Amino acid sequence: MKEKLYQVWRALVWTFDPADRTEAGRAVTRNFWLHWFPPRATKASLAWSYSFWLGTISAFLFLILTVTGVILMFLYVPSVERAYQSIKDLEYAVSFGWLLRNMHRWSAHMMVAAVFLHMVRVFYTGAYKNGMSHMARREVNWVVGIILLLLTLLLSFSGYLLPWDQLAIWAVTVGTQIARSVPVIGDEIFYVLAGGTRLDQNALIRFYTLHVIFLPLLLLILFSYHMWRVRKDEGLAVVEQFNIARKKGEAVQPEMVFSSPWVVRRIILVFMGTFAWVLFLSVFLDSPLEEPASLEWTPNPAKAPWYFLWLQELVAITTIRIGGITLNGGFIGGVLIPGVLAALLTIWAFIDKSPAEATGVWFHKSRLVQNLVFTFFVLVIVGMIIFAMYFRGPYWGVYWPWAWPELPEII
Amino acid sequence: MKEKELREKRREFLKNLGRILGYGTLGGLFAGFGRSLWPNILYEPPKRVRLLDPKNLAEGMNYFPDQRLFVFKRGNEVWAVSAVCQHLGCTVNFVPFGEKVKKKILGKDIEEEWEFHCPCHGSKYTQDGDIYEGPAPRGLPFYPLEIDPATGYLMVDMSREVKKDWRLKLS
Amino acid sequence: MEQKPQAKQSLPDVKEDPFPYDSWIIYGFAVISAFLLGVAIYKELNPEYIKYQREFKALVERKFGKDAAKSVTFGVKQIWIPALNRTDRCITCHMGYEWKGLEGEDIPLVFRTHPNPNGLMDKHPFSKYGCTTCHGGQGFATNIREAHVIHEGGKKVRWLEPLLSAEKAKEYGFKDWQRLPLTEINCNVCHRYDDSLPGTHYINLAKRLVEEKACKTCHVINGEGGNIGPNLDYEGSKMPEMFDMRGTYYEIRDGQPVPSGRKIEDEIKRRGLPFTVFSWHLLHFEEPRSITPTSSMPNFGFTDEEKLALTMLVMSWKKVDLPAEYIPVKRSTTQNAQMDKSPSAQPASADLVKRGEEIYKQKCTACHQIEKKLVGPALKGLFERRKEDWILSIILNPDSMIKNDPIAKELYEEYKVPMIVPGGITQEEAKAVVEYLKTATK
Repeated sequence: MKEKLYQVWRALVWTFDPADRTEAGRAVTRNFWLHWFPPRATKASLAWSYSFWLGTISAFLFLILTVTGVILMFLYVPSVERAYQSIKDLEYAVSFGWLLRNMHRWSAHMMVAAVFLHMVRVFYTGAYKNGMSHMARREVNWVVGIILLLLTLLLSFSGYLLPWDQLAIWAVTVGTQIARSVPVIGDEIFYVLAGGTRLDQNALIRFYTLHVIFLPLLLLILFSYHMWRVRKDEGLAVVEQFNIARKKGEAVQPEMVFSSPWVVRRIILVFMGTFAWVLFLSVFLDSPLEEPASLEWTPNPAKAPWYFLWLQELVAITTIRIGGITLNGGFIGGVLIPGVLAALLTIWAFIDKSPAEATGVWFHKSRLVQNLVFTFFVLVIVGMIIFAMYFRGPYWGVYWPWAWPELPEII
Repeated sequence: MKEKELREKRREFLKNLGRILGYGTLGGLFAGFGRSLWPNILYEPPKRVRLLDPKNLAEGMNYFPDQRLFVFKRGNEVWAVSAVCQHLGCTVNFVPFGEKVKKKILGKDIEEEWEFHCPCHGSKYTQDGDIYEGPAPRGLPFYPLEIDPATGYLMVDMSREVKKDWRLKLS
Repeated sequence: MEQKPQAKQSLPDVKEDPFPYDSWIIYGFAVISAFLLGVAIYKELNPEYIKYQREFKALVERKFGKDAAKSVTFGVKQIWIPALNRTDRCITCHMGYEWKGLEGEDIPLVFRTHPNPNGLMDKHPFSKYGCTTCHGGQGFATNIREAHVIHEGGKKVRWLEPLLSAEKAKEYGFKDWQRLPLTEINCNVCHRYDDSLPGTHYINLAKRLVEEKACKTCHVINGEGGNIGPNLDYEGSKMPEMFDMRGTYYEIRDGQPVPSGRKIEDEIKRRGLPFTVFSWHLLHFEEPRSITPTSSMPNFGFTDEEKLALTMLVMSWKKVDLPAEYIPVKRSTTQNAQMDKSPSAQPASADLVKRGEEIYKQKCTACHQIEKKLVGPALKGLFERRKEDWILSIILNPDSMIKNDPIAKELYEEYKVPMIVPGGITQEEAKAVVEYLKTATK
């Protein structure tokens, strides 16, 4: 009897606990969950200090968002009359509702940060390059990654509106007003996004649909391609270093690691770490909820979500009046500058002229200038976010973070 | 040898503890999320409703239109019958006979002072709420009554049914 | 094609662990996660309100027995009023609001039966009005800080309706802050078109002033008036951002407004008033030109009480969607006067005995006389027979006394008629009657 049970157990778990090399190799082809892995992975690509596993972290944050998101869909009502109340119910009357909401919101913020840092890492390691490979198309994956970053921002932004409180409606007003400054088609973009000329029920249901199915599906499809591309390109860019050395005649033998069970275990480690971090934030830090949404009065100050604060700051400081001429900050700061930066970033993989040796290496000296320029932009953006968050107070005036002026109450 | 064995045993123990904690946490979290789908509060009219001060209850038939409920009082006994016809939901009519009447219904001899007749499709119920004519599939539900300790009011609980001979004795 | 180097040496055995620390790190995270989940479960099972509910259940068991205590269940409780779009969860902690017999001062305030001055609650049943309609506060919340909208330590509670508490009234200098005078504002939100309303001393005073001082000459009020000053129809719905608190505060010297060097917000804080729109109105009613130096609104010389009353009136003019079933019943002035049993806003120290005599003549003489027995017992020597507490209790709660108190039961057995106080009676009125009886029954 015990023997029979043991056999059944083995039949279920052998792919996660292979007994020998043959089983380890077969495991990745016989188990659906392991199908993305190669039989063996290059140990160097698994180093913490190479990638910080930011891509995996981002993916697991998306998983937590999906799970908590689906449960929230049973509890949240996307109607302008009921949305706010359903969130209040989550906070006070639904068992673990507060935890659900907090986990969803913290994972969302973390995911925006993680995908951004992942992009920064990929840039610094020149991992959008192909080394000496003729088959690799990492520059395509770079573009897909940029799109994924954009989708993440849009997912966060569309979700931001759903609580239908003052924070939501005014943050989205700031964001969509920037979109409106796109010349010629700006107003049309807003009209189709909001389903009207102002943020009301149509906007809520459109943002909701984008948030729960359309954008996640798009993200999932592109993410699948992103992962498939990595496999097609023989793994993370660092493996190109071994290929380059071999082509030069060196006898290199990169250390390999069986995917099952060791890479799988690493993946579980990253998941547990991400999960523990999100749980920690969610248990102790509450999600904000302000007064019910009203277009009749504006909170002072009205701020965009943190990842768009740099845009808001840019818009504020590029609105310049010289004599009788006003330069439209919404266009310059909100569309032109970020548009140029985003375009440059996207095509950089194609116009980068650094040598193949710079592929998959941190801060290769041949890429010093581009790394410095990139760092400059990153620091400016992060700096503007911090500045706009803590130093911009009521009336968009500049104050020390501890000295914001008090605003009056009603009674 | 024993050192190594001990260490191995400890490792196994800690490994299993870690596994239990890990799966336990994930399981516990999902249990919590599952619990969140059981509503704690409802945006519905309540099923337990305060009716009135029992001393204002009339002898015989009392009707409460908001709850579509008959409350009968005989001496110091009270009981409640739903006025919702079990066919398609019309409100049944209270049909008093004015005196005790002997009838043979569904092969049984009964004595009753009133019946409930539904004006919509002709369902007929005895004084005990049993269906004996018409399309209704079952009899009228009886609901329990109680005295609310907070206000002293008579209170009906329409979330559960009781048998047709259920009575509340008033003090 | 070059020879592939021999692979065998570099291929590890599948059982050789390349990352020996990984398992331990996973278990570390598992322990941390388990602990955090424990914290979450603890938070979920021990919300702030649970200790109040447990205490209430114990109180009910002590006072009314185990059976009654069974009806007290734990969990979030709410009054949902779809017509007003309100969900009031105050009763999660304030569980005794409807219970008969919890009126005593020995009952903690949180659990006390909601007072019913002059049958006010009979006209405003909880199931139809909830709590926040009159008292303000955040009905959704289930913890004190957010339900009572207490801005602590710089962390604001983001909710527009404040709780019109006694503490808040104290901050504005109301002498009768204990009777929650600010709640009159919410009375007038619905009753704004009544000429006067029993029980709303300040609102009634303010409405009289509006008539006397002819405010409608310059302002549109309740739909009609002049346009020299702003339209005040929905003044109570104006948000704080529409009031310029950073403008200069002017002082009047030799009849002329002179900049004081302070901003309006500074002046408010200098006087120790809360930094609110309410305080702005107080300043404005005191001297309109101190806010707007070019204003043609005169200084009417309002007293402190009048300033408070007018500010309350103005703050009550809100834009609300009032369903038809909530429109107040129109009563004649005589009906109102007959119904008006509310104590005056002045503290009842002045002529308490005289007041008590008036009330006694109105409410008690139908059944009682001092010298002889009527429907009820004669009251001569009352204080020799009974304790003052007992007398107060039987005046305030004759029903429950007859049910629970042995002496009252005996009296009922003897006189066969239950004691009824026509039109109800408030605490202050009962105390006044007691004071009168102290002298009259000697």
